[in-house]
This record gives sequence, C-alpha cells and structure tokens, in this order.
Amino acid sequence: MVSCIFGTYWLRETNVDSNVLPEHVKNNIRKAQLQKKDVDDIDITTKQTTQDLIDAWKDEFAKFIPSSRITEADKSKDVTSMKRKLDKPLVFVLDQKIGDQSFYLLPQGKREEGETLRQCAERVVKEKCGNDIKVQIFGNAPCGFYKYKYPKPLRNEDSVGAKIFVYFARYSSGQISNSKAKYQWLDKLELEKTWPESYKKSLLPILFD
Amino acid sequence: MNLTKLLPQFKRLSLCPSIRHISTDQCLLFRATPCLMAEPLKKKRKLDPAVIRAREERKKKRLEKQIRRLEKNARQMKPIGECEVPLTLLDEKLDRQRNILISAEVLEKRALLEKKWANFKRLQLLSDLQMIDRIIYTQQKALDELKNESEELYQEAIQMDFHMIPFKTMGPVETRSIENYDALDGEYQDVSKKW
Repeated sequence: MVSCIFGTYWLRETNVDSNVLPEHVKNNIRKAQLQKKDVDDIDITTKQTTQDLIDAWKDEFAKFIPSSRITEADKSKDVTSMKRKLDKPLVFVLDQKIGDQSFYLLPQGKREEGETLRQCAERVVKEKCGNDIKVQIFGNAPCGFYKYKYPKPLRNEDSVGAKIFVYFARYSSGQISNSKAKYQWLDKLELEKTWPESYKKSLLPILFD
Repeated sequence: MNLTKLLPQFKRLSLCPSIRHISTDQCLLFRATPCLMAEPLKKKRKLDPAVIRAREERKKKRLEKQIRRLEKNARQMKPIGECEVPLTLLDEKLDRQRNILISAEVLEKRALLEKKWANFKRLQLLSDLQMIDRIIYTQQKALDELKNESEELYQEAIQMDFHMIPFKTMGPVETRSIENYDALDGEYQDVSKKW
C-alpha cells in the first residue's frame, strides 16, 4: 500500500516538475502569445484544436474502465476458482482421506517401485486432477518434507508412518478434469485455518509470501 | 670411322630410343660450367630519395582514405527514433522549462516521504531475504531426509532440471486483463521509415 501511495504522489510531484513542456502545451502557450499580438489574424478553429485534443484525451481516459481486482469468485466466495485473491499466491488443496478422517491437503500419492520422486509427483498430479491440466514442476529436488505416523489400527511392524516429499509446481494451463476431486484454491492465511497443526508446521514455510 | 653406320647399331642397344635422360648427379661428376649460367646484371636506376618519400606518402594517403571511407560506412547504424531528441526540443529547451518554485513545506513533505520510502524498502528487502533463507532451509532439510531414506533417489533429486533452462515466467500483473476486450481497431498506415 505504501508503495502505491508513494509511487503516484512522487511521480506526479517530481516527475512533472522536472519534465519539459510537451508539444501540445507548448502549442497552447504559443497560440496564446500570438493571440495577444494580433487577435484578428488567428483562425478560431486552429485556436481550439489543442484544447480539444486534451479534452478528447481526458474523455477517452474517463471512458476506459480497467477490470477490477475483485473478481466474481471473490464476491461469491467461491474457493474452487483459481481467479480469486489475485494479489496473493494460491495453493491447490485436495480433499483427501487419511485414515478415517479427511483433510484438505496437497495432492499426495504413494511412490511406486522404480520411479524417481519427480516422476511420482507428475503421476500424482495426473491421477488426482485429470489429464487436462498442465503444471510446471520446479526442479528435480523436493522443496519440503513432512513425516507422520499412521493412526494406531493401521500400524504394523513394517510401517509405522509415512514420509512425504513435496514438490513445488506452478499451474500453467488446462482445467481440472477429474470430476470426483473436491478441491480448493487457498491463500496462506486460509491454509493456516484448514491444515492440521503438524502439517502446517512443516509445510507452511515452503510457501512464498 | 663412319658415324652413320655406327649410329643405328647403338640405337638398337638402347631401350628407349626416342627419349633421352640426362642426370647431373654429383656421383656422375657431371659439371656444368658456372659461367654459362651467368647473366648480365640489370643496370640499377638510381632514384631520388625525395621521389621515393613522395611515392610512399601517396600510398599511405590512399590507404588512409580507404580506411576512413570504410569506417564511415561501418559506423553508420540505423537511427533509433525514440532515442533521438528532436531538434526542436533542444532549441526550445529553455523556453519549455517549467519554472516551478517549490515551497519549503512541500520539500519537507517530500523528504519525509522519501525517508518513509527508504525504510519501507529496507523492511521489504529484509523480509524477502528471510523468505528466501527459509525456503532454501526447508529444501535442504527435505534433501537431507531424502538422503537418509535412499541415496539413489537423492542422486536423482539433485540432478539439473533442463526443462527450466532457459527460464521464462510472466506476471503477476498490476491490473488483470479485461476478458473479451475488443481492442480499438482502425485502419493503420505504417509510416515508419524503411532503412
């Protein structure tokens, strides 16, 4: 906010001060001087043109309405739309069942034998969101890590918990074509409310502000 | 001795009668007389040193002229219209100056604003650096955990991702685009100068 106020004020104040007069303003002055000398010689139509130009520009500017930063999705509080909170990075979370509870978490899946973590991440995106969506995964290295223990009845001697490696990906194009998926696009503040405590603690730091 | 009688007999002896080979190898002790190779020397014309100097100077001048001409053509580039200040502006520079007197109050206000701005930028930079540190730390932590889990997967994970090079990105933009916006269109005439 500060940057916005400062920017506009500073530009108006100092930039205009230091600039030389532009052509149309100069023309106006020139004509005014001429007018003083001999009123009769000046053609009324030419006298008006510069002012007319300025007025026309102002009119055109007034007519132009830039699109609002508050979108339809913001108004209807539609969390499934990506076109909400345009000034904030949004995170895709998917309704997933862990044990007998379900949470809105980052899309996750089990790594199969023989694939790298990166390939696994790509496969999980395809499985959870459908084939239509295109995402760009940033690098081969995971950007975050989360470890949890299974609920008691599911534990056995081989496995007591899971380790999750998180990859950072950005949406590039396409739609989420998996109709079964229940998903939301949330910003950091909303994630703090929806994510479970331990998940939040290890995965919120990987997000950009 | 009659040579005419002898010659056909010798001719029959030689293997290749039509071509004669001759060698001046050292071991044959065949010697050509040096004085026969000699040739009378050409008479050297004596030139006036002033004339030589003048000739060299002329040569130098011609070369210099050529270089200058080449340089002139090579240096000439397409003028960039936006970067060249129109001459009328330069002529009327003094005339076009806005002679605005800024009151002390306004100056004070601006100075305060500038300080505020500097402080804001400092804090912004600090928070950015902290964010980058945090993200690098979490990634390193993830990699360390992965190394503990499986060396093989770790080796895969630290490979370079060539899809990211060259890196291209867009946005976020200051104002979002108007959907289905019909850009004002008309008949255009390209008046830019051809070079």
